[in-house]
Amino acid sequence: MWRRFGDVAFGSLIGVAITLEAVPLAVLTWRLARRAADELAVPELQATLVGTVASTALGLVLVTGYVLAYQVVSEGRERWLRERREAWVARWIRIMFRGEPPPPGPLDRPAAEALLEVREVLRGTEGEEVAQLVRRYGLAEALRRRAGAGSVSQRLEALEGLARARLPETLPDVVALMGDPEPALRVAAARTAGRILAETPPGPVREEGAEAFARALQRHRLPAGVVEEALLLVEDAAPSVVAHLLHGPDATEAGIRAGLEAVGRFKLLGSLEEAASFVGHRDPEVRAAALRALARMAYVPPDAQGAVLEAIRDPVGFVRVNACRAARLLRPEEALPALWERLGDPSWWVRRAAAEAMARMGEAGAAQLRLAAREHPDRYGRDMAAQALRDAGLGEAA
Amino acid sequence: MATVLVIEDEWVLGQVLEQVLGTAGHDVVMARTLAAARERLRAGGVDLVLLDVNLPDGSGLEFLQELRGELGVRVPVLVLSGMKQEDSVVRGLELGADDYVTKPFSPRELLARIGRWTRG
Repeated sequence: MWRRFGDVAFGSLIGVAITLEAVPLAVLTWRLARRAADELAVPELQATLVGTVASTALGLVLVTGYVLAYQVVSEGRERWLRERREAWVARWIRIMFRGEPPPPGPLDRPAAEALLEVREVLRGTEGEEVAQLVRRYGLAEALRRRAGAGSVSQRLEALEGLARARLPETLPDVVALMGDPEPALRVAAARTAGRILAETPPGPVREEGAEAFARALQRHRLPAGVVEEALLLVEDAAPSVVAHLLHGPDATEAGIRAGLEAVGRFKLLGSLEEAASFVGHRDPEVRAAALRALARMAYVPPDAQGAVLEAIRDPVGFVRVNACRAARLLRPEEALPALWERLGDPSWWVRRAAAEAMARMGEAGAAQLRLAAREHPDRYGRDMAAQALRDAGLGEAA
Repeated sequence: MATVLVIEDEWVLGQVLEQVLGTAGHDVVMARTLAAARERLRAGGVDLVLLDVNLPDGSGLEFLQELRGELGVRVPVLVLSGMKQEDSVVRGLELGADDYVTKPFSPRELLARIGRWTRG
């Protein structure tokens, strides 16, 4: 991070140093060739050699000197900026909490960064007061402009500023940047949009924003991890975003998966029935995500119980694993026979999930697991049952 | 008014908390690391702890366990964290936290929560 500025000067200097080395080397090569053809006297060749060495040394001295000087200047500049920023943070805090009058605009960079840093940690009434200061000094507008044009690093910095400011009116611009050709900007824009949505109060603006955000997440095919992270950032706006991800006109499988993950992680009870409706989806990863959501929420709606039982025999292994985990929430008389069967599954992971589910199903599950440890027809099933009993502290099979 | 030990390493957040709590009439003691917090708690006189989850020399939640166990601290502890997910909140409360405040925070809400634990 020490080369945050001075890139042009450094590039030019390297160009000069290489020229200082390359040109004398070319001359030397030419003269050596002439000497080899006996057209050149030895003293002239020696002079060229000394000139080449001196030129190379000068190039090295220039580069080393620049790097050392840059380090010193850069550290001093960083320290100065940090101290100025800290002084401004203290001043903004006095303005906020002690009624000191705000300074006249425009703000220089340390003052603007400090204001955004204070905004980043506050919400509620005081947070809104800082947001008003951000608007008053035109910072949002400037950040919006910088996020839309310029170098990638400047645009990323502007997006970070917008994420700190969290002003609802900037959401449409940020959502539009989720479709930028530069991948790093798309990711940063998704995170920023998530943080702005989290701060947008409930109402039509948030609903519109949630819909546009969900549509952009699906349309621009962001990586699944980024989508899930962005959904974690939206906080209270998650139900609206998830509803659009699951049932919007542009719903994609990746978007549905991310939505189902959010349903489970946030325990969105209002979306429980919708999540359950995806247990029979054609895409195995969607089926697994729906089962995982039910398991996380520790409830399977009555209408979905048949689908969960069916999923225990799914042809795809990781779906069976998640189905076993969700099956512990069903009535023991229905779930235990299916889980018993899965103790003989060819996959270690499914056997393990089945045994763990049984161990968590109270006395009925423990009794069945003890029986399985002794009498299950599959020897791997017996071993897994015995292991799960030990791990759960339920004693030995006998 | 109470003596509040704020265990927080983020400089800006620490400054804001100090100002918010100080303006409300509380005595504020800042600790940027768990080591400094341990020392301050041994000295006594703290009425409430405001604890960040991620600190440079360890996890705030593990420190919470230590507070309630080894150090035998019984004063109210409010956990301050950026994580709003139910699991994180539940984990903090299970480990002995009395309340949970998420970042970014509302000063009014924070003061109301602190007031609840320091009244009487």
